[in-house]
Parts: sequence; C-alpha cells; structure tokens
Amino acid sequence: MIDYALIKSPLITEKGTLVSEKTNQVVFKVSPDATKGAIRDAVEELFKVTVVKVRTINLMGKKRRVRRNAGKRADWKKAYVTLKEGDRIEIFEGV
Amino acid sequence: MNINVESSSPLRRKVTIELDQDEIGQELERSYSQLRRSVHLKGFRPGHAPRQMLERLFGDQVRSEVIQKLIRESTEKALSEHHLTPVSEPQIVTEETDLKKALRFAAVFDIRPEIQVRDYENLKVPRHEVKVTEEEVDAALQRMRERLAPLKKVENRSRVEAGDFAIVELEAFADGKPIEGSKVESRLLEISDKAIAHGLDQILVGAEVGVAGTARRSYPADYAEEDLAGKDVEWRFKVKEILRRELPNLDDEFAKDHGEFQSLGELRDKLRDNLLIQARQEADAKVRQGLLDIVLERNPVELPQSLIEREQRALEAEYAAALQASGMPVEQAMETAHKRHDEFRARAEKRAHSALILDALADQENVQVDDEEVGKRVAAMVSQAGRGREQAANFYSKEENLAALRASMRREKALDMLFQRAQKEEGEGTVSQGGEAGGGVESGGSTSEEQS
Repeated sequence: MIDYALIKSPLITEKGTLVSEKTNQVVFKVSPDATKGAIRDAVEELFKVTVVKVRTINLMGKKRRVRRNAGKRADWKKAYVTLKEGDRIEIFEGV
Repeated sequence: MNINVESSSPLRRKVTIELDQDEIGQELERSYSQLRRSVHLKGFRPGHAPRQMLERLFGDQVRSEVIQKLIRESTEKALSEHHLTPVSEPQIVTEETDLKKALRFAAVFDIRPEIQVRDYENLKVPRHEVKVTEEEVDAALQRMRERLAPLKKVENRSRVEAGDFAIVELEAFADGKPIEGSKVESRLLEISDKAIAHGLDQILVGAEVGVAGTARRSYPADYAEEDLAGKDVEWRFKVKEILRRELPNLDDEFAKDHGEFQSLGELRDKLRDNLLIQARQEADAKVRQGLLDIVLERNPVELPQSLIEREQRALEAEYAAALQASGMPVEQAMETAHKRHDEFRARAEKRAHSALILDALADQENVQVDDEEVGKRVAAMVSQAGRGREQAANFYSKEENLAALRASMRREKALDMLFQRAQKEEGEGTVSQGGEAGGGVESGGSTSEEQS
C-alpha cells in the first residue's frame, strides 16, 4: 500500500532550485519515519514520474524558548528525489 | 524598434511602434532584477530569488509595468526622432501586448500647426479714458460702512423685522416627523430673501423673541432641495435674539479705525485710487481682449481637434468647480457641467485659437519667461492661497504644472507686448487724474522710442 501522507510538502528553497537545475532533483519535506522506498513509491504515484534515486537526511528541530519556557521545534526529514531525465513536477516549475 | 508614421488629416498623426523580442526581453530582465533586490521570499536569501519564481508571483504586475514603461519611452523616442510635437497628450491604442511575441501600439495625436502670425504690427487702440466720479467714491464708502457695521442687540422691540439679524432655533417637520439634518440650534441668520432659503425669511418676519412658533409651507415636487420637495413642511422655530447692524458714523474716527488714515479725506483718496486702478485694469483687459480678437480674426488657423477637446474639458472642470463653490454637491456639479459640454465648444475653440496664436507670436517675437519671473509668480500665488498654501506650494513643485504656468505666462507676455505697442501713439493725451503714474511712464517711454 502506498502512503501518500509521508510526503508533507515540497521544499522550495535556493538550494532546492539549484539542485533541480543541476541534477533534476526535487526536494520534499517528509515524515521522519518514511523510508526511501516508501518515498519513491509515493512520489511516483502522486506525480506520475519515474524516480531514479532517493536520498534523505534527518534534521533536528531548533531549540526555541518563549520567556522561561524552553521548547523545541519538531524534528523532520528532508528527501532529495532524483527524477528520470526529462521528468518534471509541476509545482516546482516557475510559470 | 519599428516606427511608422501615418497622417490621416493635415494635423493628425498616427505613429505605430513595434518593439521586438530583444528590446522587450532587456526591459523585462531589468525589471526583474530590480524586483529581485527588494523581494523577500521564504527559502531564498534576499536578492537570490530565481526569475521563474518571480515570474510566477509577480509576472502580471511586472509585465504591465514594463508595457507602460516601454510605451512611454518608445513614444518619446519616436516623437523626437521624427520631430513631432504633439499639442496634447498622445492617445495610446495597444494592438499586441503579448510580450512573448512583440509589443505593438499606436500613438494618435495632433501636431502643432505651423503658424506665422501676420498683421499684428500696426494695431492701434485708443486708450480709454478712465474716470471715477465722487458718487462712485461715496458708494464705495457706503459699502465699506455697511460691511464694517457692528451687530448690536435690539432692545426696544421684540418682533423680527425684515433686514434684522436673528439668532434662531429651527427644525423642519414633515408628517409629524423631523426631517433629518434640518435642525439648527442657534444660528445667526440675516432676515432677507437673499441670505436664507426656503422662504424662511417670510416665516421669521414678525416672530417674537422667546416665543416658539410654527408655520406651514408646502414645496413643489421639483423643488431644488430634495429633502423638502413635494412636502408639506411644518417649520418650528424660536427666535432667541434680534440684532441689527449699526452703521458707524462717517468721520475721521472711522477712517482711523480702518487702516492707516488720519482723516476721512485720506480714506476717500485711497478709495478713489483703488477704484481708478480697478477701472483702469478692467479697461485694459477689454483692450487686450479686443486686440487679441483682431489678431485672431486676421489669423485663422486650423485647430487641432484634441486641443479643442482639452479646452472643452478644462472649461467643463472650471464650470463644475464654480458650481461646487456655490454649494452644489461634487457629483451633481460634475454632472451638470458635463451636460453643458457641447455648449463650451465655441469658447473652447477660441481658447485653443488664442493659445496657439499667442504661442506662435511669442516664438516670432522671441518672448521669454525666465525662472525668476516664474518663481515670483509662484510665490505670489502661494502667499495668496491662504489656507490652501501648502497645497498650492505642492502643486507648483511639480515640473509639469510649472511648465504649464510658464507657458501661460509666456502667452500673457506676448499679449502684453501687443498691448504696449498698440498703446504707444495714444500715449500723450492720457488721463490727467492723480495716481496715474503708470500712464505717464508709458507715454514717456514711447515718445523716446519714436524719436530714435
């Protein structure tokens, strides 16, 4: 079964646009318990593209405090998904 | 840039301009890079947002800005390349605005006709004799006396008479209900049909101080005041106090109180001088207009359509402003003025004609207005503007308004020149009244010129 909810949102940043131009990668924010395989399946189904490779990185939430109350933003996972040459995902495109 | 000039009539020009991809691309790139510097997007450092993102977010805005800018700049360029001077702002009609293809538009405008003003050299207009009679001075003095008369409370009677002033409490009722906005708690009214509306002066005459009264009046359905039109109105009123103007005595005291005068005689002299100056100015204005009329008649010009229309609009705006000043609501004033648009045609033509002729005359005679003169005029107008001073100063700090003022001053000067020349020969036998220094100087100057 494919769990689409693993993919949280596209991550559109300076670095993201850079890699998309260089190596046809797209960047997503994904659930921390998502595996590379699950991400591949979800992206392929959601956007009807062929995924060549998935690389992930776990990111620790930043520590923040409001007055005396110390807190921490949620940890999250970032996935770099390499698409087959020629495949595109609409939401990352400009116009 | 591809420019094509067509003339559909002797004065009308249609300039079609087409810009190709490269020119558009450059301008777009310039706009985007300018935008990039000021935009903050999440995930991007300032100044590092990619063009694609900017296009998606601000594309429409940038495109319309670029179109406007390109139209403005290329029109300017095309006009100067082809040596065309429009008499009014060119009208722009866009034909292709898809920037991916090209930008094509047409600018339609009228050009200034070539005018050589003829037959204006030997105009002679007799100088009008200007006189002020003692009766006129008396009348002016009487007006001044009335204007300066203080209001005094009337104690010896309790009923209002016509010509009184009264402090009144007032409200209008229709069908037993008060009419909104009609209530007046204590206002000073002059009891005269010239000063108050709705027939209230007749109602108030005879009213007794301190006693509440009512009066009924019905107004026709087409009555100008909409709140009252077609209604049977009951006015409830109460007069609180009656006042009357007390005319001050005409003596040296009166003169001393109102200005730097030692005696009544001095005040009379001053008034006489003012009247004389005023009469002189009026006469001069008439002469000027007469001269201009002659020159206009001798120099018919084909008037550019757009110039007439602009003058028509200007007249309409002036009329609307006048209506507004007399108390009509803004929208109604504009509407009323707009209805009379066509009636302004003849006057608009004359104004356009005068402006063209005077401009041409100024060119021919090399009339110049320097910055100092403009500056002085602006200063004078600003200081006269009273409460609107800041606004006025602001208005004249703009280049285009200043240019318009300069142009109109130049026309004035050209007309002045006509006037001076026409006066010369009549200069000798001018008015011998006191305070006529102006006439003397002029005639002196002219004789010496004639001799040389």
